[in-house]
Amino acid sequence: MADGDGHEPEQPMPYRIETRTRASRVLALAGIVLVLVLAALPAFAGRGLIQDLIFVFYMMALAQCWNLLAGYAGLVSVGQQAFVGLGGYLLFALTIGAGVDPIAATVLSGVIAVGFAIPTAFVVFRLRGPYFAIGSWVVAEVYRLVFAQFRQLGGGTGTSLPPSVTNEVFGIEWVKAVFEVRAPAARDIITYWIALALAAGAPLLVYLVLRSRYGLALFAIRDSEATAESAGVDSFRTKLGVYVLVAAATAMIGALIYLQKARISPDAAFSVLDWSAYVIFIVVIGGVGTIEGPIVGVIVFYALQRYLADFGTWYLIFLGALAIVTMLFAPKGIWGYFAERYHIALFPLRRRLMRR
Amino acid sequence: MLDWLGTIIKGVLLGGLYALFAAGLSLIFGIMRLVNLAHGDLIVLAAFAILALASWFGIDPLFAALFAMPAMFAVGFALQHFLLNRTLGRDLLPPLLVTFGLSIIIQNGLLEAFTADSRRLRLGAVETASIPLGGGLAIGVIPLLTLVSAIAVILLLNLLFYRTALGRAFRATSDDPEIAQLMGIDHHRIYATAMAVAMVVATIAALYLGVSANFDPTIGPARLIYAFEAVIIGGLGSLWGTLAGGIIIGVAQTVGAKINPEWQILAGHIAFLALVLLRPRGLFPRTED
Amino acid sequence: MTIPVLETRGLTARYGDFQALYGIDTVIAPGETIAIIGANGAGKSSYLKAIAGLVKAEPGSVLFEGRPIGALGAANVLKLGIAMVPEGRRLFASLTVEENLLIGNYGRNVGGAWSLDSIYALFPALKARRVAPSQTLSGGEQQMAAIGRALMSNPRVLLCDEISLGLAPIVIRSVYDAMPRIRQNGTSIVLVEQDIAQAMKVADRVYCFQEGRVSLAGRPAELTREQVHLAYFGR
Repeated sequence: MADGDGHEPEQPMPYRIETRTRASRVLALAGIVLVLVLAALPAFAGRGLIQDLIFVFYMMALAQCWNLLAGYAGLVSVGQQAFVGLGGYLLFALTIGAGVDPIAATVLSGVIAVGFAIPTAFVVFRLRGPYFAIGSWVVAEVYRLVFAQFRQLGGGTGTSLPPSVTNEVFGIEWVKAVFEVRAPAARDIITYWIALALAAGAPLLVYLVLRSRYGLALFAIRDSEATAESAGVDSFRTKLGVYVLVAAATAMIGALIYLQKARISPDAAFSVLDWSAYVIFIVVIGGVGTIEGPIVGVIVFYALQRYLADFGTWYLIFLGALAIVTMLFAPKGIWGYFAERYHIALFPLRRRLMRR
Repeated sequence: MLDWLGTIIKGVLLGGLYALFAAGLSLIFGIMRLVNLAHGDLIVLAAFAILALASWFGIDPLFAALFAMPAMFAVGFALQHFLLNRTLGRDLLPPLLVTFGLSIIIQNGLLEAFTADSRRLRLGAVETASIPLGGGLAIGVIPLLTLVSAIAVILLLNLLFYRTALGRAFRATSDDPEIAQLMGIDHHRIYATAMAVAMVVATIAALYLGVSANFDPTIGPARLIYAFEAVIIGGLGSLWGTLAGGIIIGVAQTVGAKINPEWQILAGHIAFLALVLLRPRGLFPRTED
Repeated sequence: MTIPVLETRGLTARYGDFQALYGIDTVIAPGETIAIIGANGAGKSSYLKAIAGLVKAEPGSVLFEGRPIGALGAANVLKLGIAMVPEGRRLFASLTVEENLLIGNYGRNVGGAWSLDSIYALFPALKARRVAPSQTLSGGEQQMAAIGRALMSNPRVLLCDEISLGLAPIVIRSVYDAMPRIRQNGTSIVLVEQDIAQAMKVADRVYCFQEGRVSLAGRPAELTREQVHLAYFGR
C-alpha cells in the first residue's frame, strides 16, 4: 500500500472520536429528570429539607469547582475560601450599597470576581506544588484581614442583610403566592432554585470544559507539563483560564451562600475549615479527578453532618480518622475505588477511536 | 528613631520563636517533601505534654520539657513509621488529607482531655525579666532566650546534617530516595528518624510557645501558617534560610503592628507574598528542584 | 564445581502491564566479568534492577552464592555485598564528591581493599575535586565517582548499568582503564553496555538480550560478528 517514501495514498478518515457511551446517554436522561423533580420539590417538601438541600447543593458545587482546579488542572489550592468570602461580601456590597437585586448581584459577584482573580493568579502562580497550596492559603488570609478593615461592611464583626434586601428578592411575591409561604420561606425557595441551578450546572460545566480542546490541554498538562508545552499548549494561559473560571464560579456560590445566611463576618466567610477543608474532604473522599467523586463525597459528608454532628469533638475525631483511613486504603476515593474496579463512568471522558 | 529600633529588635526576637516553629517543619519538608498540616498541632500537643508532666510531677516546665523530648521523639517515630510513610509518594493530596485528619484528631483529642481553657507554662520571675539596652530600650529575657535557642537548634541540626553519617544519609535520601536504597539506606527508617528529630525540636518550640503566650488546643493552625511562610521564604532545605524567614516575618509583623495594631498579621502575610513574588524558590534554595 | 557468586533462574520482571523479562537464566562465577549487551528496551537495565532489588522478583529467581535473594529490597541486597552503579550516574546532588563516596559504605561498612584513599588512587581526578558539589563534575568524573561510591562498600559483585552512556570515547577508555584493578580484588562484575566493542574487550563472557530473552551466550573470542549481529537485532 505504501509507496517508496512510506506515504499512504489519500483516504477519508476512517475513524471518529466518541466519548459518549450507552450508559451515559441513559444517565443523562435520568439526570434531567432528577433536576426537574428537584426543582418541583418546594411544592411538597418542608422548609428543613429545603435548607438541607441548599447546603448539599452549594457544597457540591464548591466541590466540583475545586475538583476542576486541583484534580484536573493540578492546582491544589487551600485558599478557595478567598473567593467564597469575596462573593459573599460583593453580594452584600451590591445589594446594600448599590441596591442591586440579590439574584442579579449573585451573578454580578461572579463577574466582578474575575477582576480579583486575575491579579491573585499572577501572585500565586509564582509558586508550585506544596508552595502553591500554602501561598493560596496565605492569600485567602490576606483577603480576610483586608475585608475585616472595611467598617462599611461590618469590620471584624460583620453585618446582616437588612429586610429591605431580603424581602425584595426578585420573584419573591410570586413564590409567596404560589407556595403560600411567608417571606423568609419564600427567600429560601428562591435560594434553593439558584443553588439547584449551580449544583446542576457545575458538573455540567466541568464536563463540557473537559470534553473541549481546553480539557485536552488540561489532561496533557496534568500528565507532563513540559511535553504539553512542546506540543504547543500554553500552560500558563490554560491554567490561568481555569483558575479565573473557578474563582468566578466560587464567588457566585459564595454570594448564594451568604444570601441564604443573610449574615456575614470575615472569619466565617473566609473560613479555611468550612470552605477549604470540608470541600477538600468531600472531593478526596468521593474521588478526586472524577466528576462523579464530589457527588458521592457530598452525600457521604451530608450524612455524616446530619447524623453525627451532635457528637461534637468525637464527631470531628471520627471525620479526621475517616480521612486518614480512606487515604490509606482507597486513595482514589470511594467512587475512584469502585470506578477502577468495575470500569464505570457516569461522565465518560475517555476519547475512543470508533470505526465509521 | 530609637523607637523603631526597639520595634525591629522585638521583631527579630519574635522571629526566633517563628523560626523554632518552622525548624521542625523545614526538616520534614526538606527531607521528605511532606507538607505536614498537623505540625502546629503537634507543637501544641507537646506544650500540653509539658504542662501535664509539670503538674503531675510538680516540676518546673523546663525539666518537664526535658522529659517530654524523648516522649515526643517516640511519638514522631511511631507517627511516621505507622502512618505517614504509607502516604508518601508523588501525589500531593493524600499526605495533605492525612495530616489534615491528624490535625483535627489532635485538636479535638486535646479538647476532650484538657478542655478549651487557656493555659500557660509558668517559669516564675524570669517571665517578666528584661535586659536594659540603654536609651530606654530593653529586651525580654524569654524572647532573647527564644532566639538564642532557635540559633542553637539550627546550629546543632546543621552539625547533624553536615558532619555526621546520619546527616549524609538524610541529605542523600532527600535527593534521591531510590538511589539511597542502593547505598543500603532504609529510607523509611530515615524518614521516621527525621520526624522523631523534628518532634524534639517541636518540643523546644512548645516550651517557648507556652511560656511566652497563652495556649489552648485550637491555636495550632495559626502557628502553622507562620511556620510555613518562614520555610518557604527561606528556601527548600536551608535551615538558616528558615531562620531568616522567621525573622523577616517577625519584623514585618512588629513593624506592621507599630503602624496599626490591627495590621500585625496582615503585614506578615504581605511581606511573605512580596518575597514570594521576588524569589519564588526562597532566599537560599538548594540548587536542584 | 564452585557455586556461582550470582545466578538468575527464570528471572521475569514486570512494570505494570508491561513485561520486560521473560525468564532469564544467567550464571556468574566468582571473579568473572560478564557483559550484557542488547538493543534499547531489550531488558538489560531491568535485569540489573531485579538483581539489585529495585524491581520485584521471585525469591528463587535470583541466587547469591546459592541463597535466594530475589525478594529482597535494594538496601538489603547492598548489605549482602552486591553494589550497583546506576544508569545515568545519579550522584547525590546535595553531597560533595567525597560525601558521595562516603555514603557508599553507609549501609555496608566492612573492611577491604576499597577506602577513600584507594579510590582516590584509582581515580586521581576525584581527589582534586573532593570538596566540589557533585553536579559540577564532568560526565566522566561523575561516572568515576559513581563507580567509586559503589566500590566503597567493598562489594563481592559490582553491577554497572551503561557506564559509557553519554561519554566521549576517550573518556570511556579512561573509565574502563580502572576495570583491571577492580577485577584484581576478586570482585565479580556485571556490565550492561551499549558499547559492544568495549564490553567484549573486558568481559570473560557475554550474554546478549533481545526483547526480554537471552539470545546469545558465550566467550567473546568464540563469537562471530554475524552471531552477535543476529542476536542483537533479531534478524
